[in-house]
Amino acid sequence: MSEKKIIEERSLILNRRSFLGKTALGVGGVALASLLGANLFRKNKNGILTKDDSLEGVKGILNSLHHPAKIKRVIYLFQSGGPSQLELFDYKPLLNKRRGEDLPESIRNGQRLTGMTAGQDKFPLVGSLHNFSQHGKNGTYISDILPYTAKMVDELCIIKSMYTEAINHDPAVTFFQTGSQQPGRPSIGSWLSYGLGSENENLPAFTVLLSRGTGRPNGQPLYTRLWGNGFLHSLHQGVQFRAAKDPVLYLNDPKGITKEVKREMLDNLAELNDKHYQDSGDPEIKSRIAQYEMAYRMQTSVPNVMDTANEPDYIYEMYGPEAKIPGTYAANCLLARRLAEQDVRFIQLYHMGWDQHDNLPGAIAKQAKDVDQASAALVADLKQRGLLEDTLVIWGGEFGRTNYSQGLLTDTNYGRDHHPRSFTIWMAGGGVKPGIVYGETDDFGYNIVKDPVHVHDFQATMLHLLGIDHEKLTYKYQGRRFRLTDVEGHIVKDILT
Amino acid sequence: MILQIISLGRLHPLLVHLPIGILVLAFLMELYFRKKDSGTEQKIINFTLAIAAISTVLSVGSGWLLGENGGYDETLLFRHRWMAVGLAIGSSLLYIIKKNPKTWTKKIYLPLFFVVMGLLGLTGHYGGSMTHGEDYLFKNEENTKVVITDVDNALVFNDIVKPILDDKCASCHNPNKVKGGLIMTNKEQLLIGGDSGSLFMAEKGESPRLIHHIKLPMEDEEHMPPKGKVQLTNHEIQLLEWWIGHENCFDCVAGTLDKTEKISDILNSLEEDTSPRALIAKEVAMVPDEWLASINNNGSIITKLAEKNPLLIANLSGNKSLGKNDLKALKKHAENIVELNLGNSNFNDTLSSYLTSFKNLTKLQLQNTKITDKSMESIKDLKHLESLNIYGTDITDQGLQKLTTLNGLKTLYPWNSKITKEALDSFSSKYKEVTVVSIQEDLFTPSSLEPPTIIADTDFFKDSVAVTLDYFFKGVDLYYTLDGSTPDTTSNKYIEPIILTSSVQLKAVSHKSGWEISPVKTVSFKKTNILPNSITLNNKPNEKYKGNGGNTLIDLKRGTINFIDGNWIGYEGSGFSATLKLQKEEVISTVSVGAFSSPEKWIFYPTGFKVWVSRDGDNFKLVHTEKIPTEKPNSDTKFQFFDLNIPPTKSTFVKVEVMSQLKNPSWHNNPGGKSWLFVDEIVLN
Repeated sequence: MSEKKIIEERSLILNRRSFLGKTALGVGGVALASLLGANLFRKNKNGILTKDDSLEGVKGILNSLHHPAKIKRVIYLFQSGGPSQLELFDYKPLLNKRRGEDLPESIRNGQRLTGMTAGQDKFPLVGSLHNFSQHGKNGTYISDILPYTAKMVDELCIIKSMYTEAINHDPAVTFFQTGSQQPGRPSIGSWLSYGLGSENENLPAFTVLLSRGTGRPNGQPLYTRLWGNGFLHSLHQGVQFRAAKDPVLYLNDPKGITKEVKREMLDNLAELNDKHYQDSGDPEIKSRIAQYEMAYRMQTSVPNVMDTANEPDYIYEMYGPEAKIPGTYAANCLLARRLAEQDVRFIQLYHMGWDQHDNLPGAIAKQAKDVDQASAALVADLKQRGLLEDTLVIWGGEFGRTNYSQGLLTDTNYGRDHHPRSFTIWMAGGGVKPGIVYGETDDFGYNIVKDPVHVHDFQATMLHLLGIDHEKLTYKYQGRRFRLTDVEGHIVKDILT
Repeated sequence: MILQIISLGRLHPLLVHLPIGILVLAFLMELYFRKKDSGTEQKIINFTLAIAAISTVLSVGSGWLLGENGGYDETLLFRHRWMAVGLAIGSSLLYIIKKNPKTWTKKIYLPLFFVVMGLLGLTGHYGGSMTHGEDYLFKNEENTKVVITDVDNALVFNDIVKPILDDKCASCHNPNKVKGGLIMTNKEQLLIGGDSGSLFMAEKGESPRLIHHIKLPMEDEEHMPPKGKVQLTNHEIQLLEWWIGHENCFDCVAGTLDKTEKISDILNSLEEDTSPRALIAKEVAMVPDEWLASINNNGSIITKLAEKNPLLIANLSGNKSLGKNDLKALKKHAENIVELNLGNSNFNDTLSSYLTSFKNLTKLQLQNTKITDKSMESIKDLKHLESLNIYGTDITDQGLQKLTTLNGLKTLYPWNSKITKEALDSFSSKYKEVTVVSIQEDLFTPSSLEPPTIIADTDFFKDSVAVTLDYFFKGVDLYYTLDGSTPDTTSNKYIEPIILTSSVQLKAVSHKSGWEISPVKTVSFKKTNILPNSITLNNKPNEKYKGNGGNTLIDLKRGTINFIDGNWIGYEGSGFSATLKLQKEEVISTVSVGAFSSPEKWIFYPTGFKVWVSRDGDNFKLVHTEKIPTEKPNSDTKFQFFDLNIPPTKSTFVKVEVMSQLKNPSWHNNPGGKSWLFVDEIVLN
């Protein structure tokens, strides 16, 4: 075990002990001191923590990748609420033909229902009111409410056979982000920040951008723990970039404080914290110092990234009319591209409002309009800048929707309930075969008949593309080694180049 | 008994070394001591020749017995045997002559010795051919190992199984040495099998013969390959089992056969990476970790491609103070660097000469740097370059021409450079292996005009507000009206932000010649110039949505689409009324109430209003009643002001009653449920 590892392990143990009080630590502290070399207590002339300490967390825990990576960064366009695959990607004309018929028990096969539809005595099948057409080299079917996505279909790998066990929003989104339906574990971005560190020391490795959908503006809420660091060091949490004057909260200095004054304050603070660290060995101190330093660097880098005024007009054209309005999905996509250019490792967008339990046809058209042009534009923009070949773009939600109507089925209106057994996501970028459709559902759009891909498989594949063996990036906590994919996950080799 | 005698033949490989060594020694001694005519030396030579002759005879004898065992090529055996016999006779003759020299024998002695030496060489050669194969001496040592680049398409027998058999079995089971009567060097012979039977057949309860012999314990003399020879590896055994498990699998392709995950893994490990990077990796050595650490401390980020991989990726992007020292520092191990990112840095032509030391680059990123065509000079000799990114640079058509020498180029990113479309098109058609990445220009051009975006700080202001009209692409004219009429190309054309000083309804459209005019977008702007002093709510709002109590309605903070933002107050299943007290007596002509509607959330617009005014706070006069029709079925989330026009009256107090839907309408998902009423502002004018 390398010395650094010994230090880390010991300091983790001391974290618990430091809670018990200094006297108890007296002996422990000495033992620690004797174990450690000069490293931890190294001071330069001014007694300030060195560059290594202020850059803590910028270098990942992995000394090198497990195998060559195909991608260096991920942009995850998460569609929160459960977008209906039957209105967007999975073309099932049988449902239109058999509209109104009850869902056969043989198809349903005991799938559990949510509390919302369990009370229904009929489960009338309903096909999409929106038409589908074929696009691209392979004649892939895409709904007419996604015209721009359809134009980019030759870049996309559409997976129609995703499945999950979670049936309600919070466990389902938590499952996608952390690998477990119960909260408390680190999110994907945190794992990557922990494992790979940041490629750009002036920006966090994990950033989050939120937007609300017009189809259901007050739809399912999201929780900050979805981009939380779980049991990893707090500096691995996702940093939310808001659409406001202060994109990152508490980043800017109060009035009257200059950069020089701030720097001096940080240096003195570091000195005090350094002394504290010598006494207690609490690793959270180092984490905190690193975050102050990162925040200091972000004071310059964040405004630069968020200032889209210098983007040429044709770029705004690409992303659509909303791209100039901060806080919209389109504006966030543009920002995502800018962050990707700055080598931010994991950029997560959340677009809310896809939970169409009722009024689906009208609402989903609005939701689709929110995201269609900007998502396609993002892929195109990354491509022409040469970024697509080492970036992975993912578009998808936490589960799909049922093929039967929730609530009243009329000629022009219907709703759909949650459906975890099959849904669609798409991926584009480095290492992924472009222009293919992977996996198939049955004609009823209910069960998967070919090539199922579980949430853990999806996570394992994403890590694989980043050069990480999902079974090897672990963190020991509460006595066992945790990993993003929990205890499962197979790499989906057939979609990889 | 006979078997025991025959097994003496096994001594032949041991004994055969004696005549070889001793005869050669005798020969050399004979030549050396020719000059000296001393008796001692001659005696020694005599003795040596005697031993030589005896050992030769014994060798021949044991060889004969061994030959009886069978399993050797007949021709080779014949020649070897009879030459050996000749050798035995010859060496015996040599001894006899030496012992009893006669004049005539002396003459033939030396020539005979030469002949014996020759026989020795030939006998030995044929013997060697029998054991090691006929072309052993001049066999091409270069491994004709089959390189599998695509394991799914590999032929199972030819590419995977045969190399194993050739390597581990063929030395004893070939046409020249047919142990057990079995030849394993080609398909036909494999099918025929050997003395014990077919390789593919199994004894009752056992595996097919081939596998059976392989899996016997080492001590068993039937175990194959025999103890002492190089054994089969675990992987090889599994592959052979897998192959035998499929009947008559001589033409089958690996991808089509069913396999367990273990077999898949083994097959994948056979796959050899022949990509350019893999080939480069074979030629360079690992870089010491200390060098990597020291470079990484100085601003660049150099990472290994993977653990145990000697190749490196160098990321110097974004470095606005890049200097020649940064590039020089990398020179020591430049051959390991396959990917170099200098994008968005201050890399320029002066530094470009340093690029030539990175001979093994497969990916080079120079986007958004100040390079010109001059830099292309340093790039044109990078023969391994596969991907080049020059977007956002000033490279022109001439620079593009310099890239024609890059034979390995697969992808080029020339977006937003000064290279013309024509040059790119002709380049693409000439060099079909290169993908010139570009996006179709009109891919994102919309098919119809959208209405303009109306941007203002608030739609609800005290003195004035500036409204900006914007459109997301240029070349579009924006027209607007403030009087409620539908705008068209004869209306006001938007030039600069519109300053509104009173309540208006702004309508705007976009127009571009040749395009249809866009739909109309309408936004109402409300001015409030009468600020109430205080407000009393006559009934309390719902606990969850009480905002700041009554003050929420007069704080001039407009609520947003998110009704839980604290700027709305909500009432469940009831309406409400509020009394506003003005600072001083004013003439009121309009009362506006801002309300929210989101039927799916059970929130509905008010169904009616009543307005009273008073001058003293006790006597109120009803001045306005209005009924609003129930909303039609919809699921839109929206909010708007309801303007109530009252006859202008001097008042100090205004009481407003807002009536609620009370119960969800019949078309609602939950009809009869308690409806909600949400209000954010009451504005007086």
